[in-house]
Amino acid sequence: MTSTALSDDRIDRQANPQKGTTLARREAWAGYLFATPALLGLLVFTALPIVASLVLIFLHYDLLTPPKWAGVENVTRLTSDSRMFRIYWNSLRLTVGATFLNNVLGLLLAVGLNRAMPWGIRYLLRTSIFFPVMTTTASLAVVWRFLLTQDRGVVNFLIGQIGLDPVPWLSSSAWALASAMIYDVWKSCGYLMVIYLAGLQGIPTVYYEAARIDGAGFWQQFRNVTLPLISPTAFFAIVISLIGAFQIFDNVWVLTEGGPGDASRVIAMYIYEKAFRGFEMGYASAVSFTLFIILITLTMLQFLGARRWVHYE
Amino acid sequence: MATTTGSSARPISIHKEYRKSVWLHLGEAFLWVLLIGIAVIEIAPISWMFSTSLRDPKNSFDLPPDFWPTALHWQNYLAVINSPDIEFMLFFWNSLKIALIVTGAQLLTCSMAGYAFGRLRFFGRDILFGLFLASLMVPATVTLIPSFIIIRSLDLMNTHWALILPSVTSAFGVFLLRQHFKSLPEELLDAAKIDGAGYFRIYWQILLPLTGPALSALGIFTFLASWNNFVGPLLFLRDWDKFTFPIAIATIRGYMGSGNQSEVLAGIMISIFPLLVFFLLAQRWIVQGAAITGLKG
Amino acid sequence: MSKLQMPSHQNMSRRDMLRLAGVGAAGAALAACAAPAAAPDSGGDSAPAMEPVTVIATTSMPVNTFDNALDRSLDRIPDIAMEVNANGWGEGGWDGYSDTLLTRIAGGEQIDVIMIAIEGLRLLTAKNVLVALDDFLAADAPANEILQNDVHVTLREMLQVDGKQFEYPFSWNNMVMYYNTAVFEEEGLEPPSTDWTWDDFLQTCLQVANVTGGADDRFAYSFWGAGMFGMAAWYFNNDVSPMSDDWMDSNLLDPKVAETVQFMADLILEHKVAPNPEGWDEWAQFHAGNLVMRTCGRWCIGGSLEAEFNTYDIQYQPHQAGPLKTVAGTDGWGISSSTESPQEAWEVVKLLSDTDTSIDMVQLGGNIPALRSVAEMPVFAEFGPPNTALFYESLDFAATVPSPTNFNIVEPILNRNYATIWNGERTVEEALQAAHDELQPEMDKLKQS
Repeated sequence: MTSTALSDDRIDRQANPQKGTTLARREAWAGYLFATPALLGLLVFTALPIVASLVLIFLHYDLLTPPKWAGVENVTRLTSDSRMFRIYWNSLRLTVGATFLNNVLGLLLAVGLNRAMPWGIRYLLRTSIFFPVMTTTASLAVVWRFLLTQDRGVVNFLIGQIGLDPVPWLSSSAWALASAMIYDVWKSCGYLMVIYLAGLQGIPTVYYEAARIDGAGFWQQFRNVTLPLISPTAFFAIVISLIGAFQIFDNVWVLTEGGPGDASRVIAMYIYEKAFRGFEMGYASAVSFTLFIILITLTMLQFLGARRWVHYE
Repeated sequence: MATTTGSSARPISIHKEYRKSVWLHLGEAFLWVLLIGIAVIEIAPISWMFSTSLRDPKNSFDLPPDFWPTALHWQNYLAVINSPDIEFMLFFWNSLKIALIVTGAQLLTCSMAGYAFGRLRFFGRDILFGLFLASLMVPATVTLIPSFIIIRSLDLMNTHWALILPSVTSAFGVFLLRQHFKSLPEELLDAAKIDGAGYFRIYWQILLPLTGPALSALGIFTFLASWNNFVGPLLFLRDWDKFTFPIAIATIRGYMGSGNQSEVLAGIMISIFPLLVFFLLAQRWIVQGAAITGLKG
Repeated sequence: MSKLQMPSHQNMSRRDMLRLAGVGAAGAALAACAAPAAAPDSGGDSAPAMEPVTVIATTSMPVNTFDNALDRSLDRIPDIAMEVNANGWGEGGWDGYSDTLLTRIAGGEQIDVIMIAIEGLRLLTAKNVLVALDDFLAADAPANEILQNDVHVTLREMLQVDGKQFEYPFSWNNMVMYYNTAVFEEEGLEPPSTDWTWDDFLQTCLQVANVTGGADDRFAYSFWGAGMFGMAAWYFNNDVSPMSDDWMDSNLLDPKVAETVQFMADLILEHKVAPNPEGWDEWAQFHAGNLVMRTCGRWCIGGSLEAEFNTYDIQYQPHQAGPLKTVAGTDGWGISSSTESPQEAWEVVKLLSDTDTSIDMVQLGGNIPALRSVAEMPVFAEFGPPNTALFYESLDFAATVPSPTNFNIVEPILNRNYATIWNGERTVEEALQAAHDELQPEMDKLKQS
């Protein structure tokens, strides 16, 4: 993103050669003034907390009694926290699974909707698929908890009708995380669908016409026209769904409370618990900082990797 | 790009044409099945919730489940609305108030900063904007603990300000609107400058009216995010009369202990009903808005 | 007494009432000024103040338990504007409750009077959140008199730490077996006797269960599968405890612990007469007749009253080894060390644990009152199943629920590990070993500090 910002600046400068210095100074003042409210918010509620949590890492602090110096204890403790590694592994699987399914499904649904069909049907389908996006994550997780209960639960009753064994959706380690993933995909694939739909509608039809003249079939059109031209949209969609999925909290909090054992505990929940259940603010900050570093690294990697597969027109 | 399909020189045989159309039909069929299947899966839990919220509480856990109302026990809704214990209308008002203030504040601060970063030149602009971009990557989880301490030292615990203040601006909003302001043609501004318009007038009277779709997109998603905010209320709100919907409903799950599934579901229905109506009325703009937030990558 | 079963939601509309109460209190204070003789003794020799002092109490119980107490406070302590709010249960039982409470206090909120049960008591005293009540008791003969004579010594001592009284007992609970009398009749079963054994219990379960995966599945029994209190109900009847007697060490490797947990796990996994506790709604299923038996304290009567369900009765938990025992836990009201008006807080403590408030709680189907005189009133028998007398009688062989200082750490460790037994992923031995390996270092840490 930064690279596009810089290149935009270059264009800016060409189109707008330097004017008089008083004008430039007035413009600078206006710039600072206009940016101030947002900057203040950024400083107090993003920058300051980051600095504060950097300090907290080196303290023992339980919120109630004055903080004590901890040195690097909280940092060294990270390396031996086997629960944290297990929970990161959960978060990673949840993130990769949810991101993959959301994007694949979102794209396929968008391709499906982006075809000729009666207006009413399109409206009905789009409304149904997008509606869960508008609902509250925590509330609908309560609903899903009812649905997924193992014994006398709705979903198990339905699959029992077609002769399948009940699935321990919430109570088994194998399924708990999958259930959280299913819930997340249910909740957000409609959003991805809409993003992809917009991307698809931005592709000029001439490309498809050209492909058809070349004799390209359905799959070939998808592969050779749709995919490359949708790649900038896909890139953005994947970046935001990855960051979002890594921070899933309320979904799991309501659905499984992280259980059974730690099977569906995710890192955001672990940080919250360390901080506001164990009252170990220093250590919780240390864990949260690892998350920060991981997310930054992941995003950077994506931007680097993007050069290989994202085609800008 | 399409030419990579190549081999247009080869004569098209009837056989190949036939095969292609089979594939075409299969692909079509697959997409239809997928669309309809997913649409059903997306809607079924909501229709189950609605149907069950209308059951007599005594039968709320009976099997088989309903996906279409078989009983019309509207008393559940009345019980929720009139309950002396769970003031749903108050939660509704709290959620709405916070979401509206946050949305208004973000539209203002983000568009102002977007204008500054997109159309004005000043020393340090790119560095500051870079800071915003970087903060896009800071997960809320990381700032959670210090935020608690900051809110506490500002003496805002257990007030709605604790939810409003941290959300008065967003890096994403600044980024989105900056891109939009940047994409507007320079001639517009030149004309205004010749007229002697000040920066504020340019921003307020020329640029903002042209940013409708982006503003509404940001507005809708800010509103939704605030309406859905869970961790904030969980941490900062204590009194039931300050609760917002998500936290109230998650807590009522404990209250669920008393076993009235139908009433809890009725409560959730009430909480999503305003969104349902809003969505049906403004679907076009919402979907368009979602698309805009996604297109600016 | 534990877990989520105690709804604790109703702080809300009380606000309006409290506002009214504040106005009323001010009015009453004015009236008191006009006629000083009518002013009741408020524990101090200060003249009735014009401005009522606000005292905020926080509770684990449904706030409407104290609606009438709020009304009475206008007459009895007119110079105090009393408020009662609910402290959330967090993610669990008293552990989550304590964490929420500590977070609130850390957030700088005014809380003058704190309800806590023995499970969370030591955590709070270790954080210096509570003040000892001994000085108040010494200066207040009537209150001390009630505490010494009308409150069972077991209950009194449960709320002491190092010989100091930190909470004034209000209510307590044990765990008994609730069973659906209609189903028992239908199946031709005799009501269980006081001395029934685990074996009797299992036979009963096998007879009443009907689990095929269909629409009319009926489970024989269900338990929370988590929570010290609910598990101790079973441990204690096998003459064992998950912790050492001084609550300073893990006792999870005791073979009798494994035997107990195995018996419970078999109900789910082998005999398939009990559902997996995760997501299972005990209250609703019991009232709907889909569940025949469950273990609970007296507070479960509240839900049944609300659901107008009355074809049930209670019996002691079935017994396996050692002397007959029942788990017990007491809660009470204490004074926050952060309060600015301790004397007024003490008045509120007394009002919130008096006879009238205890009767209000009994009528809502809440806990067992700490005051023996209330448990002996007809109203206690009236609001409960036929066998209600069991609740108070069991006090003579009640044993205290293990409540270590780090209860908020112990509880989640145990719960996490139990869950992997109920779903059959780990054997009882594996899971208990894992729990022990996590628990013992925490206990060692506690001993060092």
